[in-house]
Amino acid sequence: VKRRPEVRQKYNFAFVVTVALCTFIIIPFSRAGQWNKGSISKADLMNSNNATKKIGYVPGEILIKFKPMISKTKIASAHSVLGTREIKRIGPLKLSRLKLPAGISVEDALAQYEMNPDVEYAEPNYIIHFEKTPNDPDFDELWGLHNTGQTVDLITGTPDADIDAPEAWDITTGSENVIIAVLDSGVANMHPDQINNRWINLTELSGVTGVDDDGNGYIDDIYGWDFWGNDSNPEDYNSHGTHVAGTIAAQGDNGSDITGVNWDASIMPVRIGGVVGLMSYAVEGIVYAVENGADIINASYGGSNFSQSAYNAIKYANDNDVLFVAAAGNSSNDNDIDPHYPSSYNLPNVIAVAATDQDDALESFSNYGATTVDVAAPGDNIYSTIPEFSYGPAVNSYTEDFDPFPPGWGFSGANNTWGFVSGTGFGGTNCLEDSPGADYLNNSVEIAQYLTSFSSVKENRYTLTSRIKADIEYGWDFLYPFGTDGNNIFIWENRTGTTNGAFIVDSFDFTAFAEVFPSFFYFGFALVTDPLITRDGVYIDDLVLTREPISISGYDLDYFDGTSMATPHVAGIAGLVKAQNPNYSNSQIRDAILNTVDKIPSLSGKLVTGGRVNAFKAVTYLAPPKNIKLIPGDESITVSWSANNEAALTGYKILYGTDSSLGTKINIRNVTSFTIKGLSNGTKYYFALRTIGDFPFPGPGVTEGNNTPVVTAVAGTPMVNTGGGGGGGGCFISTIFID
Amino acid sequence: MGFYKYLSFFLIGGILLISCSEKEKTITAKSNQPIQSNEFHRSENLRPGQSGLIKNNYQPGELLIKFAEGTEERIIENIMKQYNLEIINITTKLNIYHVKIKDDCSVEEIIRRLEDLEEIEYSEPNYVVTFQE
Repeated sequence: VKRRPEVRQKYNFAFVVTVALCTFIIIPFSRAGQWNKGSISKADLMNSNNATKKIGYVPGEILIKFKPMISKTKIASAHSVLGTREIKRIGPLKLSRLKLPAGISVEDALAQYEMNPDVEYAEPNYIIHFEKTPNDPDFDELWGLHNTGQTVDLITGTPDADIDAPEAWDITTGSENVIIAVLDSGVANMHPDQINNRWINLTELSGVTGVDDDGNGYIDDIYGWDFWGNDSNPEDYNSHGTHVAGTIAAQGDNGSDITGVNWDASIMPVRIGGVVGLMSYAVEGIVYAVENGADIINASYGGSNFSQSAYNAIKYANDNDVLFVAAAGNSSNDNDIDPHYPSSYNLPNVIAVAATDQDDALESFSNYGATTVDVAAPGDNIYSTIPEFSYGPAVNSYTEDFDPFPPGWGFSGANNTWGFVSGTGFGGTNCLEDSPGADYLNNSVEIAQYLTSFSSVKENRYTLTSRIKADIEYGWDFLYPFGTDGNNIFIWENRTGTTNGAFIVDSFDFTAFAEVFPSFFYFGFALVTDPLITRDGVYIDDLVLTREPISISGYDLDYFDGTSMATPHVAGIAGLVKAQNPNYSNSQIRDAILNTVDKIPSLSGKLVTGGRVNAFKAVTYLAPPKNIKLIPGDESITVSWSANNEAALTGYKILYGTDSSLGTKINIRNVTSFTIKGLSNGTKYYFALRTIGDFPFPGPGVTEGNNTPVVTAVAGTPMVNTGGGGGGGGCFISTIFID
Repeated sequence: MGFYKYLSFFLIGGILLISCSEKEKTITAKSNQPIQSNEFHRSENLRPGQSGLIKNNYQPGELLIKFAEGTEERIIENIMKQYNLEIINITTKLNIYHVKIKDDCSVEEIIRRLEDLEEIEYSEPNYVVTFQE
């Protein structure tokens, strides 16, 4: 993550005024007498609500209300004039939604009903996009959810370079039934904007403290698990995991701070590290998330090492129907060439996510890969929740003034000249010095290290302070104060000399790691020099290594950049899709996200889908029916397919004909086989299907999914190319109507 | 047959263990002397102008091991004993052992030796992952 040092605006009060509350305004029904044939007064409607941006009406449908006390016979006779059919009755309003026969326009139908004295009013079935806007005061900072070209943290963007969250929120704002595990540095889920979206293990909550009430192997795991600290408190002393969780599901429309992609969800924190994480914890954490009911895992972490154990764990998630959304990495790398894990594991449940900026361009830091990175999502200048920290009281872990020369130090490395001296460094007292009595040597990589290790006390911050006096070749020779565990090395700072060769008298005050080394660490100093020019060297005195416990002192918000921030946008959309379609499998969620991206030319060839995710399109995605079989019969063909399970699904459309233009279209109800009769034996017929859904605010392009590939069969020929079996012969004539 | 397989495994393990133990003896650090120790930072990783976490690879002294399907408990115990390993945790659903190397044998060295054993499906370092993504 790249933190931005700029001053942030926690509450932009000027903006509060412009955020419209989500007002659910029903457009007034127009009276039949007021209806002007062929003219739909958009202006009138627009005036009724400035949040209603897109207005149209559903072709082939009208809404009608008859006057009181009109007989059913009269109503039926009114419908028979045009051949209209009632498809829905809204009882309390005595309102009917009518389907018009093919060839009759909405305008013509309205004119016809207008002439009928029994009709109270008739009107088009308007499409209303409310684009629900939450009342969270910092909503305007969230360009990734809704980009109006606004300036966010001094950066201005391009309108609609976003995931269309408000449009998606018309369909669903998420559900607490959807569990999203955040495998990360922990989550400060007492943050006021997150506390209501915590996952809660009810068995442990109502159980006995100190007892593994649910028998899952973890005692008191009420709000998740901390594998890093091996305890039941997956608190975040880093900020990373909290920020990620906030993007997924900071509580929406609660009048405070921000909203996540989901207004509601259950966030399960699974802490796999502090400053860094370990693969062993990631493996255990994935299994924990799967075993405890997560639907989706957000993995905003990574590295370059392939781990068979991690692969096995993510495969286990796949086998248990858990989606795994992973950051593509931040090293401007082509992951097709140099893989980045876990995003590059070739498993069916993995979605690898790159980062886009406020103009829908791939971030310069973002990894990409035409075959290994699936989608992009907003990952720059992302505003989300963080904890605030306080430190202390400080404990001195080690102090050394080198009076007398101390035991326990080791000097080593190429051209090593480290030693202890008295009197030459800091007025009369002893000190640690590189090259006592002479200049240091060229080509040296020399180390002075205190040879006793310190246990890494988790949730603590370490600070090294010392006095330093140095004369080093400027820009070519360096002094490194470092920490190490023998394998990894953390360099607090590199320090070179001055251009004029004068001594610098300074002090270190380095607070650079809390938990870079998971178990233990050593510290020391390294002098690294090039082949030319030597100088007097370095004097070090009055060393103090302190340790301060970290505690959370409050909650705030901040801007972060990274594919780590893009990933939770996608995990969040996955949450919305799951909320909308609770029966969806992880592969259906993945399909809904990957098949509905907004293609962006500059992403083409860099990502599998070539696009940035779109929440609205994902939640309204209607997958084409699968496993289509054609079973020819006498003057008939029976079409069968696998059931779709979108919540919005109302039926299917069969398109067929004697050529691939598929001239005939039949809408049928939610069945999985249908027999087309009256075909000519010996003639080849072409078929395709699409899924039809009924969303709260239906409209063209929303209510019907894409066609399946075209399949063919010859009528009258028994059992050709059908794959056998299948529910043949179902007769559903009564359910059909011609579109 | 089984007996010989077991015997040869035992012998190889025993021999390698001895060589690892000898190495251990040479790394007793003395004050203010040039030293060779696993704990001492290996300076070859340092280059002018660096900062931050330079080598960010794996946790020293730890491994993840998966034993071959159906490996008997006593064989696993024996391998732990032979290679001076201690179980930190077992992810039972995946049958993955997170283990600690009790002596100064390097992670690479142990993996190299375990690779030869039929009972080991794989062993790998406990890699570090970063959140700076």
